[in-house]
Amino acid sequence: MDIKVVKINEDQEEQLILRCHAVTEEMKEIISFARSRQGRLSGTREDKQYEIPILDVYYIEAVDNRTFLYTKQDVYESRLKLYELEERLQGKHFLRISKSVLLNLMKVESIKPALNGRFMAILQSKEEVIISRKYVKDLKMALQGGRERSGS
Amino acid sequence: MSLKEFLMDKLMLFFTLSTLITIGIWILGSILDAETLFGYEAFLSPLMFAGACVLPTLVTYSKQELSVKQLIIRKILQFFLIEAVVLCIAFCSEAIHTEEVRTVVMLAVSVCVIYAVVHVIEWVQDSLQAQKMTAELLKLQEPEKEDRE
Repeated sequence: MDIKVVKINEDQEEQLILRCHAVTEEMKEIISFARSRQGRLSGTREDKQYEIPILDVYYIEAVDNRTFLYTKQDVYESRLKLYELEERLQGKHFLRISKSVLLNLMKVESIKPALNGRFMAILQSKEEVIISRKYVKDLKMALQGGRERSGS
Repeated sequence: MSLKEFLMDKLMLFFTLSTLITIGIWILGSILDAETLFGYEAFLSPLMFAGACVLPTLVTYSKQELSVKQLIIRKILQFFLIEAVVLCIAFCSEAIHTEEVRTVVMLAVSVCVIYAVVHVIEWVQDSLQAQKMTAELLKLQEPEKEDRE
């Protein structure tokens, strides 16, 4: 695949055009990446493709090698792996809070203690998500604004 | 949790238990055997009991995060092991009058009370941490809320 980058003037609109023979899995991944950089994530629900604004995602969970995006009312499946999403959502207040969950800190209403040094994040949707003990230190750093992963 | 973190936790638990056991011995001694005098070696008994009680807590160690169910099962097991250890020490010790049922019962109850108090202390510490994190979280969310308004 030939890659061309053309510099344009400030007054022109930036565009990303993909010219391909077929929309393959690889192409879909590139499209998904480009959209995630624009503040949206691709997700499927009931066989339909949706573009979900990152701001609307409450948390992202990996279950049995599948990744799900949770909004206030709906759940979408993402084709991306959790670690890929973690990389792409750097600087957008998303933080790993357990082996399988990425949490949007902007959607957390409060934090409560759970058993054995774990904590529970109460989301604005009133859903509860467990924060593993291992990631509590990262969370504290993110909240104090001194960490890289959440990029806050 | 790493082994190092786990052992640091146990060290903190040891000191908490030493304090609570000292208070427990004072209360139990005042009720059951107020007239007895002890030598300096008596100062070691809370440390000995605390050390012996920390050992059974190793059953809660796991490299992987335990589920709530697994944790509850291990906590119950831990409690019974602690009771067994304390009663074993009591029966082996000449200073504790284990021939009296009242002494044994009160000892078992005090283990139960100390076990509960330790968990309450941990809960309070975690609650304070959670409150602090919630306050910081709200501070983090403030600029975005202002932007929307």
